[in-house]
Amino acid sequence: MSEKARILVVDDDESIRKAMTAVLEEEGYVVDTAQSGKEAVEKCSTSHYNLALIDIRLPDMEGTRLLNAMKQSTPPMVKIIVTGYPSLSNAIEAVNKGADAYLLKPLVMNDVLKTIKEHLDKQEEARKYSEGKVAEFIESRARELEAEASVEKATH
Amino acid sequence: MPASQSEVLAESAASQGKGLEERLSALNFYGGKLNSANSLQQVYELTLDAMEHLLGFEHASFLIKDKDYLRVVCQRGYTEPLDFRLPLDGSKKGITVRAANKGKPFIVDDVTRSPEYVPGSPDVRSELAVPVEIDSRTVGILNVENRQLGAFDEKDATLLQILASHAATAISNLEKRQEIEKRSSQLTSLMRSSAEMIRSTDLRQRLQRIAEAIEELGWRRVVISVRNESLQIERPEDMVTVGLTDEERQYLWDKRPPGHVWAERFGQEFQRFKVGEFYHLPWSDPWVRQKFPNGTVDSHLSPDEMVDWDPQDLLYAPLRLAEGRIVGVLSVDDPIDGKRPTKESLAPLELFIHQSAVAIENAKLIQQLNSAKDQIKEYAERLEEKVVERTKDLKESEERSKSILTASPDAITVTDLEGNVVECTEQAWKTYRSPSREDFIGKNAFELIAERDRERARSNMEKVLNNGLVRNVEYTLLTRDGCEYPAEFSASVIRDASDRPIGFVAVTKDISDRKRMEQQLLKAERLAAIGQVAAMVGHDLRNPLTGIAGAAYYLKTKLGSVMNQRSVEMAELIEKDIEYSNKIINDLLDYSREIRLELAESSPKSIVKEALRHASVPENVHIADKTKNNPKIIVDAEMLVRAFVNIVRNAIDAMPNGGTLTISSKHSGADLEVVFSDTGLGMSDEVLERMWTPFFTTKAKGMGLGLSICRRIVEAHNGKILVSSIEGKGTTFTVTFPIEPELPGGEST
Repeated sequence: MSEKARILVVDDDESIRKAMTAVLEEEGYVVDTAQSGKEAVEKCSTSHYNLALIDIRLPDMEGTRLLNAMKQSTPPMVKIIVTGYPSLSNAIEAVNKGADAYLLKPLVMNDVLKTIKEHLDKQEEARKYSEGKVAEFIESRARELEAEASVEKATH
Repeated sequence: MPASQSEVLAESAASQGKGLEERLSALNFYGGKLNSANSLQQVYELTLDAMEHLLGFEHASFLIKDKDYLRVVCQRGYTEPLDFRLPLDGSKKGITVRAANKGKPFIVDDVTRSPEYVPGSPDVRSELAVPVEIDSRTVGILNVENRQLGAFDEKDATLLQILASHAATAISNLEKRQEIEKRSSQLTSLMRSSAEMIRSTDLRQRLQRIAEAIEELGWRRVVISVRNESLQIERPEDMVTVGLTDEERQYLWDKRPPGHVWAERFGQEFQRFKVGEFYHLPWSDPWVRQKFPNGTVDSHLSPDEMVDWDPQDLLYAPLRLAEGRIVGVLSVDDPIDGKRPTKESLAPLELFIHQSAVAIENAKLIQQLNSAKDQIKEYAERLEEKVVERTKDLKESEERSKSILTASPDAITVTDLEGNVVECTEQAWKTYRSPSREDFIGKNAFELIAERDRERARSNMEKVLNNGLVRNVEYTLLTRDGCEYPAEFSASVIRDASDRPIGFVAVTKDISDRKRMEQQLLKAERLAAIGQVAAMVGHDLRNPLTGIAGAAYYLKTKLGSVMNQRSVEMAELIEKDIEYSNKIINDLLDYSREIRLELAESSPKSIVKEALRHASVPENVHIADKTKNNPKIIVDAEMLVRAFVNIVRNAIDAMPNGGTLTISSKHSGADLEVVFSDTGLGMSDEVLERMWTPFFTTKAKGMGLGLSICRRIVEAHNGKILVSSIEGKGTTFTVTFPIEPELPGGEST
């Protein structure tokens, strides 16, 4: 990874925000935090984050709703829901609402870091792929333009 | 024709022209003969005999006065019969008419000079007419004629008058005799009719007989009508008639005057028309004509037949009972003799009036009597039927009551006022654990109540007496062997026919089960509340646990290289305890959460295998898995695994020094049986009793929710867990549940 990935931790629990920040920064990520859904939406609109860890229960809105509110931001941010209710229906709901993964509280750090890394790697790959595509597109377009230009010259 | 010596004598006296004295004595002789005459015709003949032979008149005739004319009834000395009638009004003249009207003898010396003379036999020159009178009433004329002028003198007239008076006496006697005969025949018919009348019980028939009897008494038309209180005829049948055509009957019915008209006709205004019991309204009376401007009735009589009766005359009488009440009306019309009725002529009819009235009343009474009789008869007939019916009803009702009582799950006891049992249902003596009904009967009800409740029971009994009943009072009752059980008690007072209380009926319901359930419910509610709190607390604990986990991880990674062995151990301890804390939270949440089954096909073996994998079996515990792949079961495998894990862990915990856990499965009917047998410490009875209680545990660690959850899961599958244990030997858990659930997705709390 050429650049340090930016992670937003959304949780109303201060100890979690602090502990996560410490752990993630130690891993080399740039960490920002939000303690409410509103703050999270604001931060997303002004800054770019590669990934967000979102508690499913927030004081001002359901984490799943927050997923919706942040959906539009680009490039695609990895969204991981953190839930205290481990159940299948909960997980399905989270994924349906646009979460890329979900983690159970209490968070086991090794699992958290593993999941984050996996998704960021995927994101990176996707980014590289799309960059390659763009380069390829530009290259082929340039060739087309050149070809057109030569044809034009020939006809005039 | 002369028949005796005296007749011969009289004749000779006449022929020899004897003196007046002799003729008078001969007339007296004729008088005697006349008196013994049997018929009017004989009187006429004898009279004319006397006139011809004794008095020597050549042309003699006897005229009789009918209603308003004179008629020749007998004649002598004429070649032609004198068949004519002479009206008394003189319209056809007649010397005889004049004599009749004057009531005196009339001598005409020269008929040619008399304006009254009616020519008859030729050559007649003189005439003598002498009236025949009874009590100065002219009934006829004796008439003689002669071819010589002035043939009659006063002497002749006197002699003829004497003869006339003899004839009159004879006629009068005959009339009286006839009258007597008539009365006698009436009396006979009356007697006969009465006998017939009495024989006929039917009112109509009886009235018909009466009407016919009246007819026989000389009336051609008779109407008897039965009337109600307002003198109205109610039905056409209530009108009995004789001598009326059907049309007349119909007319009479159609034109019947309303009751009040009849009431008026028996009233004050009509009093003066009363003849005995009857009212005779003569048409000759101007008031009557005014009263009946349209006339009364048409007569069947021809005018000749009438003497002094007018076709429009009315004759009627009320049919009155002795008490004065009018029950009908009798009207009669068209007297055969054409005469106006007199008190005497109506006397026999009056008898019928009374008889009719009595008959009508009797008929009514008989009708009432008969209907009463019929009712009694019907009642008597039905009585038996009713008795049978009622008996059946009663029996049924009794059976019903009995079956209700028998079927009642509650004990029903009947006691006297002192509370001694006099009657009871099977349930009652069985609940008391009496060996028989007889054992229970006679016990005092208060003995059946625990001592501490007796005071209250006595005061409640007072309440029952005052208010009639008490409902759903709770008592602790005793059985025969002294065991106590809670019961709900209702009682009401029994009263006799005179409303005097004679005892009580009490219904007691053993509410042990209900009480137990109530307690269980209370416990369940309490546990549910605990569960909710636990869930909330547990969930909230996950946040700080996450914080601790994060912090510990940071410290471990940051300081890992510089930490000594002990510090590393401590960090691991933190992680382990976080994990354990989380497990407690999960158990709590599991316990408080509704169990929702997600059913799928599985097998006993796979579930047990999975459970064993999760249970982390220590090395010193040997597992003998004898479970089978069959049958296929429809269960929530994940849930069942969790339940089995708890049982396996329990077994492992019971064998701290190792042992064997044998697991086997058995297909038994619709159920599957999974048996877990360990060779562990076993459990005391006390522990066995409490082992299912949530949060009960014998272990230092654990919340005591494992078996609770285990049981909830099994019960959610409509199954059950049986535990048997021998201390020091081991414990056996037998889990039984249906292979396929009755209700897919069944849920239990």
